Amino acid sequence: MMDREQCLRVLAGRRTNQVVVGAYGAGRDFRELAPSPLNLCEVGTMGMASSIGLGIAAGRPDCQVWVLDGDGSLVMNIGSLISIANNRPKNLVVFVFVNRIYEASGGQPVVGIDRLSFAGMAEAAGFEQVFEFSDEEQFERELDQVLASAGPTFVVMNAEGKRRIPINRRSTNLEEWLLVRRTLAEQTAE
Amino acid sequence: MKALETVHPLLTELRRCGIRHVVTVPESWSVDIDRQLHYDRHFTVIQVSREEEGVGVCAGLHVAGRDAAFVIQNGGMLASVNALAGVSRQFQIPLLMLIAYRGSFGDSAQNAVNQIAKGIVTEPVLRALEISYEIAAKPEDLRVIKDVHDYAKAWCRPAAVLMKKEAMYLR
Repeated sequence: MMDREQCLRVLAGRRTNQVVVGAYGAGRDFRELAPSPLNLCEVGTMGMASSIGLGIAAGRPDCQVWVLDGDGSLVMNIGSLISIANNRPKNLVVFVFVNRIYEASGGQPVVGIDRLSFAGMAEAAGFEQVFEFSDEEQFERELDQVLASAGPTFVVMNAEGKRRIPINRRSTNLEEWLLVRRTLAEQTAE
Repeated sequence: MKALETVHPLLTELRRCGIRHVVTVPESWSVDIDRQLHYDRHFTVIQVSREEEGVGVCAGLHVAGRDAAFVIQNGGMLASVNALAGVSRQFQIPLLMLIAYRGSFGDSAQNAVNQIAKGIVTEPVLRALEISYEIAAKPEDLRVIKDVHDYAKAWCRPAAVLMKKEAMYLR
């Protein structure tokens, strides 16, 4: 198991102009570690991060989109793997942080977590690239290759760790959505 | 895939709205529309496996600056209530939903009896979500799509057209 915060710090260090769609723990922690007008880290409904990421990637093929999903969230919208693979956005990278629990709702085990394979499901759905990491040094070493691959790319991150940001923290989520939209529009205009 | 001789008025209206992205889940009444959308290179069709996903995809397209239409069945709208409230309403997404109105008056399909329960609750659920809607009974009624799209964009909220069978089938 890797340390999630450490993995997010590595990602933050590589981040340039990517749109980042994040869910719950991973998303909110990434937003704190890597502030940007291109962070969309409140998705409103559990499971929607991967679908929102597909929409942004389809609408802006000139931008790379990173989805930082959780295992519980992705299980809730697992069909999105099929939709993403079928629509083949080259610019979409889906990271799923696997801590094996519903972190935001009490720490219960994620359904089927002892049997399922996220990498196996992504491969079966037809993702172009599938990676899985359980070692931080290997992740850091190979991340450039992951990000350079023509997607859609799926990355299993076996990582756990304490949430940096309290779950009940009030966030200005609507403003965040409006800011990402405005920032992308300004990039178009340039 | 062969082009049909008559362009479906739904496609004409989407062009009038300036919409190029269409998110869909296939439905038996939308066979003609689906075929033409896939054939027409003006449109980028994003087929999803389940309607709630489509709510998220349309929200992402909006963030990316793209207008989109979401072509689904009313059963799919009912399955998407969580995302319609938590994403579309919460984040002020001008989601244009074009919904096959199964189980409504005039749905005489052999299996319509299975649709009645969904038809009965469709409008009450839209009203509960505070989603404004129009009903298109005939193909010419689809001209309302432009008004509904303009409304959704002006007020930054989802809006819908409930389409009866005659408005969707060309044959």
